[in-house]
Amino acid sequence: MDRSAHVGHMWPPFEVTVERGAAVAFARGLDETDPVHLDAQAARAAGWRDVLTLPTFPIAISTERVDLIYDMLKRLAIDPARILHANQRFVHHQPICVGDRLVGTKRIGVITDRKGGALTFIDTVIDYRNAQGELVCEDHCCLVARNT
Amino acid sequence: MNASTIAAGTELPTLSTGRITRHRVARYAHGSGDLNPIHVDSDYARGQAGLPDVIVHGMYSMGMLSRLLTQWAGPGSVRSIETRFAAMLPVKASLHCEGVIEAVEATEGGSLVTVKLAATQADGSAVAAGSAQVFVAAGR
Repeated sequence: MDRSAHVGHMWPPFEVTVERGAAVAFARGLDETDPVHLDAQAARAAGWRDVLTLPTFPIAISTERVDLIYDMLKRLAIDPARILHANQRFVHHQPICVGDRLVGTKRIGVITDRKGGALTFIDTVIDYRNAQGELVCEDHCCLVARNT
Repeated sequence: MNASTIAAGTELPTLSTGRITRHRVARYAHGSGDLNPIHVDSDYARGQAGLPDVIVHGMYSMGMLSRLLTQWAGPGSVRSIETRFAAMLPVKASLHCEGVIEAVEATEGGSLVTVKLAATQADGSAVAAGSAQVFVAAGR
């Protein structure tokens, strides 16, 4: 199946405010103990503007926008049950702290068929920018669909 | 840490999770918002997914690899991190995270350190592998 027409598809930008409860629950879920990831006072004492999120926290933001994943799979005619998470990469240009307001823009990067079309790898990218338009974080997600 | 410990080939202090109980999987599901039944519902895992039991989130392994980095270089030090998910991790297994320095590049105010990452089960089988770039401030 030729899905190349979908490469480059971009969804409308979405706004996100990094909530304290979400950032702390994420840190606790990974048994984080460093107080800069758990407590605003400790974070400020260490020089951060508020609780510092963990390096993989943006996955919680993209999970909240799972509707974009379902929309993409619908466009690509892929059954969500055939999907696995193959690869994940985050590039951090600036720290993300509680209270930060970001604008995320998601697009489809590369779509690659492998193993004679048995597998389709779908790379998506979400760019997160701050109010000044500066790039804060890139989320590169690769999903693999089993077509057989 | 001092400059002599930041060199290619140096192994970072390891991180082992111990047994990843159902409760810990549930806490990560809550924290990440990923409530996919394959992680939280044994009946679903056995029935619809054909697995022996629920599996730990792949992103839990990546999260632990990121903690391996920050326990070494400090909060906010990770400039990039990439992970390939090699195999499913069953609930009640444990995860062992390792990192080895591959390259060190001088940059403003410190060093940019490339670390090769691996997460394995107790029997040594691969769960996730990847790499990261970590900023280590001079004098840390």
